Amino acid sequence: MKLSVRAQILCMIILTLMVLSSAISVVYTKHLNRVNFVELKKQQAIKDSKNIEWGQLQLEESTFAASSEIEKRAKNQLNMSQPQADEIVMIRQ
Amino acid sequence: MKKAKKPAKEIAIKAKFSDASASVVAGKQISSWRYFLLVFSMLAVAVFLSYRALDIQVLDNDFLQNQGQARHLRTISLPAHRGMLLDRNGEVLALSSPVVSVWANPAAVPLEDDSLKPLAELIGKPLKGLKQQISQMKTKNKEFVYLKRRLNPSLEAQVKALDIPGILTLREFKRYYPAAEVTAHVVGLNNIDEQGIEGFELQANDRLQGRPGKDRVLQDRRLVVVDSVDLLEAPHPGQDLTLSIDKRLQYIAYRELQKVVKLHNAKSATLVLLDARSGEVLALANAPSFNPNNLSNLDPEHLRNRAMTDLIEPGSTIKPFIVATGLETKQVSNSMPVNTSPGYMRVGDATIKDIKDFGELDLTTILQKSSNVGITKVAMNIPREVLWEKLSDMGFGESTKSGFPGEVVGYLPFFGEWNRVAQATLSYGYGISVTPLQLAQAYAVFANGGLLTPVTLTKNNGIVRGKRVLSTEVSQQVLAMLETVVSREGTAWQARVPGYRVAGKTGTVKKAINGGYAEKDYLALFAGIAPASDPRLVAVVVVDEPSNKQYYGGTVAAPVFANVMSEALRLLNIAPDDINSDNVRLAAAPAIEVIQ
Repeated sequence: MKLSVRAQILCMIILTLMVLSSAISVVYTKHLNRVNFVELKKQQAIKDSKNIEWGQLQLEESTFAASSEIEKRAKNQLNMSQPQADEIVMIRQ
Repeated sequence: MKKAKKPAKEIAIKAKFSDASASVVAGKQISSWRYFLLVFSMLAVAVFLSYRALDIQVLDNDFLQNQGQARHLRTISLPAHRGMLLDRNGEVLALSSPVVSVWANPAAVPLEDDSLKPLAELIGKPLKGLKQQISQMKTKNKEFVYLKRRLNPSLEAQVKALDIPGILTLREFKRYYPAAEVTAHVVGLNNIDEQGIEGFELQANDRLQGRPGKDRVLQDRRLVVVDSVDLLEAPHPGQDLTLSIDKRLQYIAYRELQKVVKLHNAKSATLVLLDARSGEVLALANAPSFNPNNLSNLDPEHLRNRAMTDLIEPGSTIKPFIVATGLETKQVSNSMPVNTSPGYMRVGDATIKDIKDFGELDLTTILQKSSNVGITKVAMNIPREVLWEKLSDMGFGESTKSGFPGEVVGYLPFFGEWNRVAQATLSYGYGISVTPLQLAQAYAVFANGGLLTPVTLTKNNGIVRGKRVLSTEVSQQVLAMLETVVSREGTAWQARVPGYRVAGKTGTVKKAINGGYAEKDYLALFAGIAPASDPRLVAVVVVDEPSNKQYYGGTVAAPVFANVMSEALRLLNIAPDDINSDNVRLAAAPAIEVIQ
């Protein structure tokens, strides 16, 4: 089939515009991608540092909660002692 | 040249428009060969240029693209951390935490000026030594040299801020052991590259180990990653592993062992505490131990996990198994009197002695007094193949199948090699060897109604399949006999735990030295079960070479058992079963009105 010259020109213009807009959206998407990627990396870095902190807190906790430490504090600071057998009274239910 | 060409071009164009073959224009004469040469060379250039354009754009575009990418595409490694080791209650026993290592590319580092000075201060190394190290590696053409490994991760930003060329940082992991020497022998060790070399770190290395991932990324000119092109391999962090160890019980065990080593000036001491029903190891400790966080002054001798790698002769602690075999095979009965007078007997050319003349004993009192003569007479009544088979059944000479690296298998000589003397000495625990762990496993048979359960160092949630090696009746009979050992009349009065009924057996073993037995070096042993009415825990204590006068299992090892057991029973909330004895005070539960 044959198009008139006007129709051909119109077609040409539409196609050119479509190509152009597609090209721009490619660039834009690429840009968005970069922006999001940078954000992702930032969040990953945060996660990383939180992980480090968590590990260090775990270590800190287990250092403070070490049985030897608790025992020392209970004995020295709180004057606690293990009840002797004759100090224990058992309650019959 | 250009100016000369231009008129020629005009001429050529004009020539085209007039007559293709004309060589005479505006009265000027140009020779035809020059004209053709010109046209030809111009065409050739045009063809070459368009081919080159096609070549670059279409045919060989991979090459250029690769070249371009090579300048900003990098494959980076995504670190994966090693799994944690946890105790049965989820307490951390080993944990990998990120640290930072500083490295240099020697060729790029400026060595002439003082730009390295702040770095030297930051990583705590003398500037001179640092420069020397880098320049040495420079002459060797090395591209990578560690300056300092495993620094606090907060230093990473500071090192980066210095912005010295050729100085870079690397993220690594360091293993921390919060319980340090208390759990050192079970948990084990890693080398500097995070590979297990001892204990559980070695046994479960494949499981704990993470697999680092690979990512292809785009970097800009400041080496900042701007895009991920292709995730080649996702990182796989290592799996966590829950051990059967209870950190609290482990601490108590270690503390008591340290005390006994000091008190009796012993070479070492070992304790194994088992859950009788599940076969799980709740505590396994050795003293002296080592600090896995700081190996700088490590005595390699302390690395040894004696509970699993030291073979000991069980001595008197084997006697209950001889009695059980006799009862099980109906070769003896408890009512059978055994005359042990005059306190010694001869078998072949060996003399077997008791500490004194016990006179007439039965099976219970043989165990209670730990009479060597009595048990020898019992053992001599049992055919040797029967004795061998039953002892093998109860795990002697067999592996515990715990799978722990370096664990040794006990030794029980084949009955074909036994003579009468061997059978006699075996009955009181010489000429046979076990590890403390294996001895605990064997005692668990009495605690478990005759079932031999595999021992495990990982939490098994109580799912076990035991193997019946003794009938329930015989196992209970022996348990009742062992209860009489922990009495004023028995050898292990010091193993008693207030509020609980305890069964157990002492052992005092002369240490084997090349070709004979030492005169004054002893092992003090105690193996016990509590509470006797419904056994939950089994423990074995071994004290190596106590040398402060006392060396009997009943006076050296039994108190350790009592101390550990009383706290373990309390911590595990196991109800007292001996509430009617003299040393327990009872009160009626208060009436409800009082509470309100």
